[in-house]
Order: sequence, then C-alpha cells, then structure tokens
Amino acid sequence: MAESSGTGPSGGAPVLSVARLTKRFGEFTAVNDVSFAMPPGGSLAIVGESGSGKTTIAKMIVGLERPTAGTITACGRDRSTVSRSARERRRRGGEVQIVFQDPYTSLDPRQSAASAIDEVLRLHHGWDGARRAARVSELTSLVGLDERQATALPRALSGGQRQRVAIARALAAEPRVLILDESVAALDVSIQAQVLNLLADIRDETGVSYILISHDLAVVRQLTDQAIVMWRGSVVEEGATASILDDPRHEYTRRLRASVPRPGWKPARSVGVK
Amino acid sequence: MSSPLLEVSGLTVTLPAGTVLRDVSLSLGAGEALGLVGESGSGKSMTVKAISRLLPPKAAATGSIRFDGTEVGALSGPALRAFRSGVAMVFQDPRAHINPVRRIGDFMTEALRAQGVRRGEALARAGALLSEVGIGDAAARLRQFPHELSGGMLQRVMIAAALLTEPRLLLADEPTTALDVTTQAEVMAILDELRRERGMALLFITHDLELAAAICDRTAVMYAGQVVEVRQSDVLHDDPLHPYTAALAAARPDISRTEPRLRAIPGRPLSAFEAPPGGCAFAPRCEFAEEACRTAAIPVTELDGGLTRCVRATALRGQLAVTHG
Repeated sequence: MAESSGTGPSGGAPVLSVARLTKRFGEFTAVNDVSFAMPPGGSLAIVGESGSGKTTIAKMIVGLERPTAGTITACGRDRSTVSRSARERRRRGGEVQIVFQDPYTSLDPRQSAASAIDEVLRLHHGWDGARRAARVSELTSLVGLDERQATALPRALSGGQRQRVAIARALAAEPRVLILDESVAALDVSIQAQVLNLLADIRDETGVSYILISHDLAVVRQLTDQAIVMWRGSVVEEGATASILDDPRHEYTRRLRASVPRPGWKPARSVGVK
Repeated sequence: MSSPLLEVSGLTVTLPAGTVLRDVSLSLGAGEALGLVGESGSGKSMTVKAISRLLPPKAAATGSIRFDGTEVGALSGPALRAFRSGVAMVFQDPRAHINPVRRIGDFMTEALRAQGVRRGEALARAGALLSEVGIGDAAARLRQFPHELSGGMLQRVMIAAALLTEPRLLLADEPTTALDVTTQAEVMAILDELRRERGMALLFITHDLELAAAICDRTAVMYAGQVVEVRQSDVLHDDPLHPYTAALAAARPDISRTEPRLRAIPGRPLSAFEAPPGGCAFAPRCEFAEEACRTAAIPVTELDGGLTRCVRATALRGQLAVTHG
C-alpha cells in the first residue's frame, strides 16, 4: 500500500509528493515507508491517533525534522535535505506553509496580526509599503478579521480570531500547499464551523492545496477529497475520503469510525486494550 | 418522587472580573446521569467547581446547592469530609491531577487510608477496581509510577480511584477530551457500566452534545453562564427546545456527509460577564430573535418534559430540529 502514488484525480504534476518517507527516533520508527502525492488544488487528510506519525510527516515536509529515508518533493523541487541558504529556506516557505493547532502559542504576543502578515510579505515579495498594506488588508478581510482585530495584539483576540490570524499569515507567503495540523481541533464548535467554511472559500478562491492532519473524522469529511489513514507509523488505508468513511476496509479504520460519537451512538468496550 | 440527590437552585457566582454563573438551577436524582454541555466560557466547569466547593477564594456565590438535602456551603469539619468522600471527581487531564512521584497504589489508596482502612485491604480493593476498569495485571500496575502509563490508562486509574470510596455522585469534567477517539469510546463505556452497576449519579461535563447524550439520561445545555435547556438526551438532537441547542447541533460537521456549507453560528460564544444584563444572551447570534428577546429577562419555560430559557419556545416548538439537504 505504501507503494501507491497519485492520490486522487490528478490535475497536472503533483504539487507535493512524498515517496517512501521514513523517520526513526533511535529504535522507534515514527513514520514507516509512507508515500502519497497531492494534485494542485487538492485536499488530502492524514488521519490517525496520537503517536501514529501524522505530525512527524508534517514536520518533515516543512523542514522541522529530517527524514531518515525517502524523498519529499514540492513544486518539482526536492526538499528532503536541509536547506543550505536563507534564500532556499525562503523559497521553500513560499511553497509550503503550516498552521498549527494551538493559536495561543503560534503567534508572537507582541505583534499584531497586521504586523505579522506584513513581516511575511516583506520577506517573500519585496513589495513597497503601500502594496504590502493593501495586501495585509486583503488577507485580513479574506479571513474575516475587522480593522480593529487586525491591529490588536493576540491577547485581545479569541482563539478563533487568533487561528484566523495564523491562517492569514500562512497565506501571505502565497504557498501552493497549506498544512493544517489539527488547526480547528481546539476551536469551539460554533467557531470551528466558521473556520471550516472559510478554509473551503479560500481553497476555491486561491487554488491552494490542503493537507489536513486530524483525528476528527467529521472535519476530515467536510474539508478533504482524499485521505490516508495512519496507524503506528504506517499507512493502513487510503483513497477518496467519502469511500473510506462510508466503507472502511481496514480493521483499524472501522474501529476509528465506530468510535465517533453521533446521534444514537453508544460507547462499547473493545476487546483489545492498548 | 423523593428529593433529588443534588439540587442546585438559583446559583449565581461572581468573580472579581465579573459574573460567571447566572441563576443556574439543576437537579440530579440518585443514580441518574446528567450531561452538562457548553462551549468555552459557558460556565460548565465553574458549575462543577461551585458544587465541589472548589471556587476561587474571591468568588462570591448566591443561591443554593443541596447534596442529599444538606446545604453544601454550610458544611465544615467532619461533615465536609463526609461530603467529599460522597462526591468524587475526574478531570480532563489526568497527569495534572496525580502526584508524579508517588506510585499508582499510593495515589489510589490515599482516601481509603485516610478513612482508616488498612493498607493491605486498601490495595486489594484498588487492585479489584483496576481490573474492573479493564486494566490487567493490577498488582504490577499499583507499583508503577504515573509516567509509565499512557493517557488512556491513567484516566482509567483516575476513574477507579474516584470510585474507591464508593461515592454517590461523580463529577466528570471533560474526562475523555484529551484522549484518542477509540480510547474515548472505551473509557466512556467503562464509566457508563460502572455507574449503572453502582447506582451512582453522574454529572458529565463536555462540549460534545452527542457524547453527553450517549451516556446521560438528561442533558443540560449552558450558554453565557446560564442553563438554556434541560432535556431528555434521546430527544435533544431531533427535537431541541432552545435555538442555541439546535444551532450547536447543526454547526458540527457530519461524518456521514459533506455539507456544501456548514451552518456556522455567526459571532462568537459570549462569556457570562459579556452578556447584556436584560434579555437573552444568545439573541445577537440567534436567527429567531425578536424584540422581546432583547429587552426582558428570560424566564425558564417548561415544555414537552424539558426546560428552556427562550421566550419563543412555544412558537418555535418542533421547528428547530436539524435538517439536512
């Protein structure tokens, strides 16, 4: 299963692909021989529980961890090895950006949303002040922040508003791929729905691709077309999100599916205890 | 019907920063399970703190909390200790509530030993309960330290420890939120089973309506420091009485279908101290709000066997259910 590539209907060369990706920490294999490819504008979920290796994959893609083996290719260029120069790091940053789970730790407490976005624009685009200011205002309104919120420090913003800032900041680099690492998991249900709608709109408008890392199968269903299911570092099932959730093949996926609370659901003791 | 095991009436709690609970009333019969559902800032955890007498020192509380007919706020000395062994608690993060340098056995038997139970006897009872919560090789587990156990395993230890003194009421504050979903299902099943066997009452706090409905007879929904609806869990999803309950159920994505667009609730949840003094706190986000919702204080209405804090409840009756398509 790890051999497969071409996740989903391919609309041109994949914007991101990983091949036979492996990461070991000492004796422990966190990610074992994982391959997938993402078409431009696609939306792929990496599903799994804690310790399944999904966040380690994200970290390797953005360069926060080095793969033990395997390759990562974004926009046709290899990024499996450490970048040698600031210019190379910037270029990689323009290809793939990430939004983390906790909006309380991912923003600089002394920097307003507008200033955080402006910093990214300055770094990536070499525009003059007026053009940057115009883009800051575009991006903040794209994510639904008003002018007061855009100039406020993070401490004056709610969790949902902070997460919008983190999304706008990631989009400022105009990435082809946005990794959402449990980015809506910490949000209240009513706010989560707003941010999920927003992410769908942004994908329609900009053609950006998403990699959604999530343990929440309902969120996965709502936002992604394709999915891979990970268990203990390996991919156990992959395919169209709808068919994986409607007709799970692997025993682990079935158990995961059956554990999701829904109307009429009753929890059951399973046989094995992890 | 005999008097309830726990009766909270007109509870209002004010912190120096502002009011956090406003006129909260709940009742829980012996052996009954009640879900308490709300988003962040709704006051659900503060309600538990008030019941367990763990409010912050500067909090001012009015209203009444009665456990087994006795006013909880008036307890002291041996009576307070007896109350504490009758009301056990399980929290969201087990690692934050267990001493990391003491063995599981020492932690579990502390309350029993304080009651004068001998060490050997206390350990035997702890071991038996560990088996009941699905932990094998209990004798070895009792000698282990918390860091040697996974989060799901440790939460089972916390549940077993809470049950050791045979409490009549268990307060569980998001006990499965930090766990993986398969582990959550397991822990919920254990909690439900042990509760039924013992005839213990349960107040189950969560942000997840479906999770509460799965093991609770009734569910109370909180918004901005108030209880806005109390309803039989099995009809809550299909026939909610309060627009907020309906909106909360509709906003959640559904695992069995992709919605063209989620029905997000506009705005954000209010804390109690941000809520306007008169009128319904949910009105600014409510699609059914009228002038009357914004001006007068909203009384609790009894309807179809449930309670709702909505002036339009009768008019909206049967029209709030989540429909798709």
